[in-house]
Amino acid sequence: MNLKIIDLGLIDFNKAYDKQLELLNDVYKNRHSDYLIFCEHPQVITLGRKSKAENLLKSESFLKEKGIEIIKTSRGGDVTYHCPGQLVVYPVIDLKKTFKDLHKYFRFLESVIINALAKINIPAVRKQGLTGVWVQEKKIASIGIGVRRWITFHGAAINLNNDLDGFSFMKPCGLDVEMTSAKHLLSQDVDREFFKNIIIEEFNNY
Amino acid sequence: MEIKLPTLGENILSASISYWFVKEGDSVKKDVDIVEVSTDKASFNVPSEVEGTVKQILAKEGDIVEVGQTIAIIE
Repeated sequence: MNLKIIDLGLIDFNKAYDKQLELLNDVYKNRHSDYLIFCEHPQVITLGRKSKAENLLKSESFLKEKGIEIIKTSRGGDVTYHCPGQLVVYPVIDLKKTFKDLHKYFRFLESVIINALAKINIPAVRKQGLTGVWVQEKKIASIGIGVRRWITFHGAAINLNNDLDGFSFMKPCGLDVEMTSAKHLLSQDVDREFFKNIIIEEFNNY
Repeated sequence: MEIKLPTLGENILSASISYWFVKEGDSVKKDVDIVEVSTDKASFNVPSEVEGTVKQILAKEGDIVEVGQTIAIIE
């Protein structure tokens, strides 16, 4: 893949979304390179197209008091939570150049994350029928994508060093599941730059 | 022209209609998105293959449609 890397740092969810749309348009018109966006978001709960109201366990006013916005998004999937310390990856790539198959793209994203976690000694796996990345019974990364003209946007959120408390305000991805993080599993912080570079390597290995 | 739910992947048999961007009577240009469908964790926009008017919308938001099924007619 001919990937340009863009690191947006800590950025509002909506601003990152606007950036993705801009790059989507660029990939559509120019067709030479694809983009890999990395960022983190201030606390936010996002709802995908398959969200069910009962999967959000707290009221809007409760969440507002905690400073957590709720945003409806154009990605597939259910509800999830983003916060600082979580590494969010938004690949804006033209699947016509690789494989025009949504499920293959999910498996590819899962492989990238699984291989990257293995490099920091975390034995992560995929689970049949449950898109995402798991460490035993706990979920460490969530995936939800959008596709326009076979160009992807949205992507994956990997719990690197973030707090997991916010996930208790919902049924993440509509599941009765406990989330985990790399920091929790290794009992130490993971260097963001180091891990980001491993992810880039895994994308480039394709 | 019949607009059908396109192939989304080897093992993907159906998708649900999330959101129509057009209604019957609207005029559309070629390649403009007319509907968003979703499957599992992906949302996918389907464009019009022709320029014309939306004569009929054959599936409503929330319906599950099969790959290859006609979802709209544009003339």
